[in-house]
Amino acid sequence: MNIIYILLPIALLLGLGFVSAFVYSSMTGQYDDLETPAYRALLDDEII
Amino acid sequence: MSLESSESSKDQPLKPQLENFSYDDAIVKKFLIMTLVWGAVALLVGVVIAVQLADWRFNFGLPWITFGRLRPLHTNAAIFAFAGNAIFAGIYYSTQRLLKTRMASDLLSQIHFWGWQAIIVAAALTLPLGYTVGKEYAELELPIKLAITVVWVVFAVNYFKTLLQRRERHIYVAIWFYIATIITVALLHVINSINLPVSFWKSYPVYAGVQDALVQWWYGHNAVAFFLTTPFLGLMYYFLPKAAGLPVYSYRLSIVHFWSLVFIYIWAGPHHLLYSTLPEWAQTLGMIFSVMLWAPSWGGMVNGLLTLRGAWHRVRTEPILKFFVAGLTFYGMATFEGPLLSVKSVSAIAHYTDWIIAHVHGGTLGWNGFLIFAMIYWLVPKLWKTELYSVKLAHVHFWTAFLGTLIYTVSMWTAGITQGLMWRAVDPSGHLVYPDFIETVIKIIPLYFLRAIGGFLYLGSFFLMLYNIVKTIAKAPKTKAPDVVSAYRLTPVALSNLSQLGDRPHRILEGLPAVFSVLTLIAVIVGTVIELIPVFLGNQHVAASSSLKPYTGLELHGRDIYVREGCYVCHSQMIRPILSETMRYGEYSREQESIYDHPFQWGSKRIGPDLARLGGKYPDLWHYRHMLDPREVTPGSLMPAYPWLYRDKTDFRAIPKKLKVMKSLGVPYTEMDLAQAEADALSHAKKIADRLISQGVPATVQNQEIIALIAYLQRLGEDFKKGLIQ
Amino acid sequence: MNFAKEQTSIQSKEKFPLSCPLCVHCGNPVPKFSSSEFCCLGCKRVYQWIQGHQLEKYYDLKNKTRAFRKLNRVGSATGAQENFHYLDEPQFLKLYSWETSEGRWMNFYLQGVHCAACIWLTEKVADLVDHVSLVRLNLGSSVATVQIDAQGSFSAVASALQSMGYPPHPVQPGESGELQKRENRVFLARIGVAGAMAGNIMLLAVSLYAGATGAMAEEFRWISGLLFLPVLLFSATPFYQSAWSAIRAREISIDIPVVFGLLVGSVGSWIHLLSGNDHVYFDSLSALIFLLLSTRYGLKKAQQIALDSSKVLHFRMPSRVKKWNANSQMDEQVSLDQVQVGDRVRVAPSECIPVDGVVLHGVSSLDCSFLSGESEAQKVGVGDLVFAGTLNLDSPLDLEVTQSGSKTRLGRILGSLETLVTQKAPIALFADRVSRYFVVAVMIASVIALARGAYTGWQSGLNSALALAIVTCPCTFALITPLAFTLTLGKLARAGILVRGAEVLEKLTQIQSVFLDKTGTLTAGAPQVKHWEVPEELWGSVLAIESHSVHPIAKALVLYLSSRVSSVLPDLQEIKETPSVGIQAKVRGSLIEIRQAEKSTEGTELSVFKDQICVGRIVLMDTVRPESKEAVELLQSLSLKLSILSGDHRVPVLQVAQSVGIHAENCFFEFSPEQKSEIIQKQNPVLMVGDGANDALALARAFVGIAVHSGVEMSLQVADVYLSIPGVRPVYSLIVIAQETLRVVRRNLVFSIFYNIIAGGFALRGEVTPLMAAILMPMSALTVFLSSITGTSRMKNAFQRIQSL
Repeated sequence: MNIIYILLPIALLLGLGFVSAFVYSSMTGQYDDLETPAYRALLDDEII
Repeated sequence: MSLESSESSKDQPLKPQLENFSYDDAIVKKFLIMTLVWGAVALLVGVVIAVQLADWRFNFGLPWITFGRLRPLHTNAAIFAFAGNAIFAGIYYSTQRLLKTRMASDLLSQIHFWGWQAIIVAAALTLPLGYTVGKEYAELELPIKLAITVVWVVFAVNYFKTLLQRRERHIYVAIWFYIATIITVALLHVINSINLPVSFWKSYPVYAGVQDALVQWWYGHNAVAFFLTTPFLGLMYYFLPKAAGLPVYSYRLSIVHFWSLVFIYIWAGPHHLLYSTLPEWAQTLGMIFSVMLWAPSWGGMVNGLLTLRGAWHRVRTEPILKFFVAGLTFYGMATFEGPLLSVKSVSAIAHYTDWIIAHVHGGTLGWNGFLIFAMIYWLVPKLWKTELYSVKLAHVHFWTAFLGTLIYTVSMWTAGITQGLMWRAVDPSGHLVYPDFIETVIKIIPLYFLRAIGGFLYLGSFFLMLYNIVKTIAKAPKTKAPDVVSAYRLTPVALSNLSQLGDRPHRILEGLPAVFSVLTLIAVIVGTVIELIPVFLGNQHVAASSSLKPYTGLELHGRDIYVREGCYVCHSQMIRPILSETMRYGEYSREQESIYDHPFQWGSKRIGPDLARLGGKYPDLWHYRHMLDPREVTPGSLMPAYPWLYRDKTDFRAIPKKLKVMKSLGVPYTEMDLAQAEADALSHAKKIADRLISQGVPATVQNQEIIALIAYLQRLGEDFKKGLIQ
Repeated sequence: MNFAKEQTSIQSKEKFPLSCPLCVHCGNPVPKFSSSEFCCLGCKRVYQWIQGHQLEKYYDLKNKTRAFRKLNRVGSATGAQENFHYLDEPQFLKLYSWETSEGRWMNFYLQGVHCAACIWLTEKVADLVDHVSLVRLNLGSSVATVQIDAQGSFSAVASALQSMGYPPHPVQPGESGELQKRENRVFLARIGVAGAMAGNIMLLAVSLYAGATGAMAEEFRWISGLLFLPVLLFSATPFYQSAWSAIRAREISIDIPVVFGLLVGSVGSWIHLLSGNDHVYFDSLSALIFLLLSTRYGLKKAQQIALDSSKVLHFRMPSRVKKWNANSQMDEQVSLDQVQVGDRVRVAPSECIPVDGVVLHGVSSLDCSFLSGESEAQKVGVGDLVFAGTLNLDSPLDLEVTQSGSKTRLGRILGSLETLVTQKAPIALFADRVSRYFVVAVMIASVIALARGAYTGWQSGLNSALALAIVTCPCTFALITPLAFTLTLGKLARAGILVRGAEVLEKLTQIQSVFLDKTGTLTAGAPQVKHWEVPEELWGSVLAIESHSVHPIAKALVLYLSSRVSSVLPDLQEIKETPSVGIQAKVRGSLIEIRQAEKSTEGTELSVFKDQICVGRIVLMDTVRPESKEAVELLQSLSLKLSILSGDHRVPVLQVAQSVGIHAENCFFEFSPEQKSEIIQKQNPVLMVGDGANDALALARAFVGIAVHSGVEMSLQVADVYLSIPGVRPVYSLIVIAQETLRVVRRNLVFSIFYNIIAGGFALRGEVTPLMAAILMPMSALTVFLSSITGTSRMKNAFQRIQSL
């Protein structure tokens, strides 16, 4: 069953990758305002 | 995300410029059209194989359209061609709008599109010809797998470059789902596609037995998760609010359920291997983890359905909202059924039965299909700047598809539970109530007809949509110029804001965006993994008892035929430690029995009986007559006939190469085995052929492929009988 | 989808019966009297402005999307335009805006922002007003961040926003704004790390519990140990900081046992890991940290909602003054701080009086609601004393300055407010005080466990001490207060009651007496028609005349008549408004006058003359709110001593007291803000319920101050609780909810003490395996969570009563 020596590191590394992505996005303020994006997504660009 | 604004000097304040640009909708149209085309193909093949199960005559004895080879074509076409193209269309359309930026490079988009279609065509040709690796949802041979990797990397580079040049600072939740899809599918595909080639169209996976099983189902479940769930949740979070004109119920909930999904999702997989030779603790882990998945999945469903708060009356009149609501409800049903099925005691009944097929199609026809239809009905009028040809037709499509899906799932639930209970039925005196397997098959044949009807309704409704869309596009105005829109270039205000707060560690991170670090992370993993595997697996075989002999040359060739014909699609090779199974098939399977199997062939369906202990159960002549016409030996069987095995000759010259590759994979062949590989195989075949000829079989049987297949079938379970394995 | 659009427009019609027309701009029902399709002048002006700038897309966007919150009346009914020049003054910019390499930033709180179309419209300002680089709206907090470049001016942006229908109020960013945002981000990152690690460690632990053995089990333990490090070192730092500051300040906070349990657990587990013992508790510890962090985050967010609204500037002293220059015999615009005592200052009508002074020339009436809280206009003539902060209504006044700047009466009040707010010492919460004993108990128990280890072998001693630290971990105690209070604060905020913090709820349960302000709190705040005796045919012309004056009495008359007159208004000639006497105009040839008679006992009396013949009489009174009586009875049922505290005269106060059921001797009338503050100081702990700025000092001084939504929001900055529902009714429910929340906290306390005694018992006997800890800990957290969620039945119907208001 030592395939786990490959699967486990990959799973954890990927997990850590997403944790670092979360920390980075949180630090750059992606989650400061969690109400307006839901509405801003509805606004279409007006065509010039 | 930093932007090197080279031309503006630091002292003069960066005035954000208003930039005019237009979105690349041509690529979206291309992917959308191919979604329709491949959707038709995938569903058509689906109905054909459904009918083949109901009535074996529809295999017509032709190798290219026999069930064993068409079923992988159906799964690959439905997942990667139909759902794949739909996801790409949705991603290209929504990402550009959400980031207010055109795709970074039109060339890469084109390469991605044409590359993906080429891969699909290659798959559509090679699978019917029998070029398959033999691992479910990963059947495509090595060259195509490499092509998939290349095209996927092209897509990833193009996507992340767009992300960096975005003009909207906030990354909407749908984009996070797309990022997770791109990164994780890349990783899964690479790890599960490490094969050593024997010839151009034939390769053996480096993993074997239980290792291969765990990697396969770690890939299998996460391919479903990260190819059929996360991208579709992303599409739902963009297209449902747009179609309903209402904001998502709780944007906060969508962020929470995304991150909770992604942090620990990658652990899923072992629930496909409950009661197999996988270690007990891994099975329990798989079970508990799958039950835990219920929460984030239902988080997504609730968030979607509640978005329609206050607009439910519109579901009555608008087909798009109908599709979204039905799709989300099927998603909730399938993701409740999944955790239920991964509880060990339920899996004991449901595993290998058609209940699993009901679960799969509840999710794919219901959730994926309906979401794609909703997206198409919303996108086509927007892309071609026209109104939908007929709204009534869309309603008809909905109700027919809905009915088809219900008939499909209900018939398969019934068939699955009937099979599960009949296999387990033991009368008070301790004997199996239905000892011979064929009784359980004949009982559910009417349900296979019902399922075919359900599939047919779904296919028919698909063609209604096709007609509706073609008519819509036909009457669309022929304007060529794409719309021009404007948005402010994103000055690195967010970042300077941070630096203004004087947090030292952050300056370093600014230069290296997190997303690219994740990509390089994966590149590093892949590099280490490729060197590590042979080292790890090499020594592991030695530990097995040295007296255990691997397959002989002829048996190995027979195994390749077994894989080529897709026998694993209907037969399993894994006897579970459950009383009714050990009584029907013999001692439960041990891990040692499959340690040389590259790839493992435990299978996941028992339309036919389990073959793990088939060796010596029937004489060679029985197999000879059975493969030619199964009904002659077991009346009522719905197994197709394989007449071409009595026509094609075994290519003995290729056998030594196969043994050499197996040896490099760690299978203990001696130098002497390799040298006399061809001679041994010929004499072994001659022995079998002579015995058959003495029993009245025509002399032409000599060197036919059936001989090799019989050699392999008679070897199954022999090691255990000879007491080599405890 | 074409049919998607018509569907929504039909849907919005269904809500309002077709008979009553909808205002084209904001969708509220249009009062019958006006023939136009607008509900008020404000909407009409905004509608014309939007048409003028070709922004009609706003209206189809508004119909297409559902609103984020219900839109209540916005802006002044009369459409009065506030001027924003003060925004561009350097010292104001220094206070309210900040500079970055891109340009200058300022935050505005926008009233009436409620849907996607508002985002689209407000962010259009960047294109309409030049030199504006960016406008970014946060719908949740209704705060828009504006970035302008060097040549830009915030006043242009502010007037554009006002003409769009979103009156802006500058928000002081201050260091706390940016720091708080950054602190939230880091806190969220900590939760993310703790959550991810806890998830993966728990999965590894499940494999161990499900029977993984041998070398692989050893590796799983090592991996979970390594994964635990970021949680211990990065995620848990808030606990170390608050524990360390508590220790330095020599008082025991709940974080000390948390850190104690954490360190002992981690060190112990690592020792076990190194010495091969398989009892490791990484999964319980990481789950503990994750749980505590998320509940703390919830409480912080719930409290932040109340704080945000308090930083908004609602009232602005005019900073430019017209000073009489003796040598140039002319008035020139001068900034406020250049005015000295003895200067002559001219104040135009409808302008705020900037200084304390004596009237030299001119007769006018002043609106002193800001200072006295009374809405009746006060007549002033030559020689009368006037105070800064009052509004000059009728005609220009020349004043001789007696005090200016911070030495004016208003300045002194604002000054003392500042000190009072900062001095309010937060009281230690009830559960934290109880945990003090718990900490001591756990310390003693672990010392005993270690001592016992002396003769049963140090290994088992360490083992049971470790198990004790983990199992009796303070998670249940640390969870109690944040969980119970977060849920209550959240529900209250959603019901429109902003509470500044958890300790306010506890203080509410300790008050004995309640002081109620009269005007705006018990009464409607503005005079209302009590007696109406005017011939029918004159109603139209009276309404037309009165709608030209800004006088509080005029507003009351317009309000009263607007729902009764349906005919089109006659046009007027020669409108003349004589200050504090009355108003007259020529209607279809006849002269209509509305003159103010002297102050009669039961309120202000008006007489209506047609061609000098008295034809009608109107009496106006500040009537009591219908629901005040019931609210007072409810408060009395809580055995609280109720009294009225008002700046108004004796008669109206006693009348209101009598109609509401408060004894005469509990009424204090003609109290100045300073006197109100003194009486509260004497009788503290007191709950003060008030509205106007004049109550601000009292609200700040009181043990608990509740600002009622009706008058100026100035008191918002000092009050502990802000009611956005008018009237006194929510106060009773608020007190009940506070009491019930405390009862839930006590119930949670009993649960955790009971749990800790049992778990502690097992731990001392050393039988706590990691699996038991992994089950016991979440179970105890779950019981505390469920008991907080269910709350009590009494709390539930108190919330229902608030919802129904």
